[in-house]
Amino acid sequence: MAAASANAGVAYRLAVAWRAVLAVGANYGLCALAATALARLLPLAGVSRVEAAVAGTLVAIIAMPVLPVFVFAARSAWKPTLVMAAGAALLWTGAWLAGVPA
Amino acid sequence: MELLGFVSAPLAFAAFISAALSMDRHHRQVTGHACPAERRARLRLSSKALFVLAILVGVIGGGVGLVAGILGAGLAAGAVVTTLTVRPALLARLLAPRAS
Amino acid sequence: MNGGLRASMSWLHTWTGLICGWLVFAIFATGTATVFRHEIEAWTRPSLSARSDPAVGLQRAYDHLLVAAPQATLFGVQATNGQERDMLAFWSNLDGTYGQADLDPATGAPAVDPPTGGGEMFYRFHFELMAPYPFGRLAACLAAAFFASAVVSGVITHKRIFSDFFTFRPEKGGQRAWLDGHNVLGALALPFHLFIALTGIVTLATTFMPFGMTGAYGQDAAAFYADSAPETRGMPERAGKPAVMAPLAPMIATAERELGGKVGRLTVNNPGDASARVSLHRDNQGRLSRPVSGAVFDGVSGRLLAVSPPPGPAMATNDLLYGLHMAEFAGPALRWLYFFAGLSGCGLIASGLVLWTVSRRRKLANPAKPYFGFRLVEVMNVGAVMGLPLAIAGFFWADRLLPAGLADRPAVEGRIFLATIAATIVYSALRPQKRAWTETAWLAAFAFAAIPLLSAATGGRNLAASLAAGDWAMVALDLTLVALGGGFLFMARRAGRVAAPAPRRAARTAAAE
Repeated sequence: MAAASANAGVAYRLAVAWRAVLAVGANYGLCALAATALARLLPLAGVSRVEAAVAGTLVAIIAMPVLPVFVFAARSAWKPTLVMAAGAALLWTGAWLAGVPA
Repeated sequence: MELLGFVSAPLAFAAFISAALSMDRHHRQVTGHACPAERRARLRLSSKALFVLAILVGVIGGGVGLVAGILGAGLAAGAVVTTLTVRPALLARLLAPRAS
Repeated sequence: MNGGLRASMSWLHTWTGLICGWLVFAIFATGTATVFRHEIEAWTRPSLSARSDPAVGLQRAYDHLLVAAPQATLFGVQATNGQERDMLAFWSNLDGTYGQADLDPATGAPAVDPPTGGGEMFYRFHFELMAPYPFGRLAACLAAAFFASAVVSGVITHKRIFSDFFTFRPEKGGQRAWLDGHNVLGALALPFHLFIALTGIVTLATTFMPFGMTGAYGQDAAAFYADSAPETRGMPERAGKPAVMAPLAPMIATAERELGGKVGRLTVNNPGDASARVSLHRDNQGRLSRPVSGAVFDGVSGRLLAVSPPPGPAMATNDLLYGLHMAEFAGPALRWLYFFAGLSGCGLIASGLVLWTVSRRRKLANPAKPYFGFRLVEVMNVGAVMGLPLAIAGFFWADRLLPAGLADRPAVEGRIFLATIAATIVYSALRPQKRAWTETAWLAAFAFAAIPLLSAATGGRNLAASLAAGDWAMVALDLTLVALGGGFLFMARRAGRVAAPAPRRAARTAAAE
């Protein structure tokens, strides 16, 4: 709170706004990607389709409330941005390579 | 098995009372003075033993019993807080033989 | 956000809490009421009294619907158990229309009471917020996710969570007392708050996070649902040849043997057709997970066709989480625990919302004319925290007072529920803040405490008659409403005292010294 009044400049507000975007929008997108990737990759390991779908969904639901804590705990907004971008790229690649299981 | 969960709650209640009384602030609330070292040690020990017992009973109850135990424990802690706030004298009686 | 982890978590806790607070309060309040939805259901339908054997009730409903809904392509009935007295039935017709009714287990026909939303209204509001599909459900999930974030960051914020565990100092007044109360309420039911928020999202997973499903199945959602309940796979198309349906009782006996428990749900596909299928599912008494295990029969020959296989680990986890939220396994004692945990959640959210204004009021440049955002929070706090209880009480009043023949009666009850919340917000905006709290609390005290009297006077459930008949569920519901009224009375007196000018407190402190 003290920090809020000390540097309530435009840069500070933008940083908070950016973290909020990460914590809500990017968080949801990342969790959706994680659910998709797990649902597509697990069948390759012999898990049934319905099990993979449910497992992916549960992981996404449990991760979602925890990610904002990580986003706001980081000292610099760059760190969560980069980590989430890298995570998204990785999950996207995995999901894309696996494709929708038959 | 749900029943065992409800056995677990009073055990948790007793454990919470012991834990609260071992803290100076709450001991003072009840008796007016800080908790003596020897009594603190005994209260802490009994609180730990009661907690272990409460958890064991909940786990043996399993499933539904465990849910009842967890919810019951929360409410038991609430009951301790309420007693400490509204009628600390009630808890003083527990310590009566040696207190005051 | 530079002040280290705790400061940033405190910031996150404050703002996520504020953003979702009003909505989550509404969800918690109606969810707490939903714990007793079957009792509320029975309260609103005074003609239902007998507790019947679920199998007999299902048989009657089956016989009734086969005659009463000849155009149905599908109908389903939820059996009664130890808690319910009505059977919720739904059907869909050949022409694509839907219908639903509350059946009396004694006759299998719709209950004769005036149509009402009953406990079902609170249940549906709890996750749909009376908003069009799927927006209400999405909003509820988003609120739950925000709430879970607020709980996690709140725990990190609270550095002395163990040493302050029992600390509540109302005598200190002001911010300290509110913070203590907020912390205590949060710490007490912490496991409950976390699991109820997460499992709440799990119940709406296919709406809020459908990407597991679409990831594995693409656009073929039907295949996902078929795999989730494999026993229902291969339902035949309607043959168009009328056929006489087999009696239900032998199928129920077989299903209970195969499923190892009582049957709780009946679904009939293509009733009265040569291709008819009867599905019987287990009830959830005494089992944490909410299983979908069921048995499917040929509706004409009554032959057992399929039994659902045991679920895999992920599905079993999902069923467990789902079951924990719905608490259908819970007997009366455990449901009281859910109820009190729910109340503590309401208190947690309300105290957090109030704390936001209390901690900022002292810093206001001009307390008589606060800035818009502050005033908005003040107004909305009263609107949500008092509006929801008033709306819940208002529903009971509406149920007793609306004319029996009114068109669309359940929808009118729903509109009265929403209008009460809106009216409370408007009232709160027009009154000084402290007056708004006190006056709405007085009104809530009266509104709740008078419900049993109103009900007895208008031919509804009657406390004296319930007592005489030994109908303890209805006695308990009436007494709970009175107790809630008592709670608001206490709150009104308390708020009135706090609202009194400072000299009085100073005088009291002086007298004490």
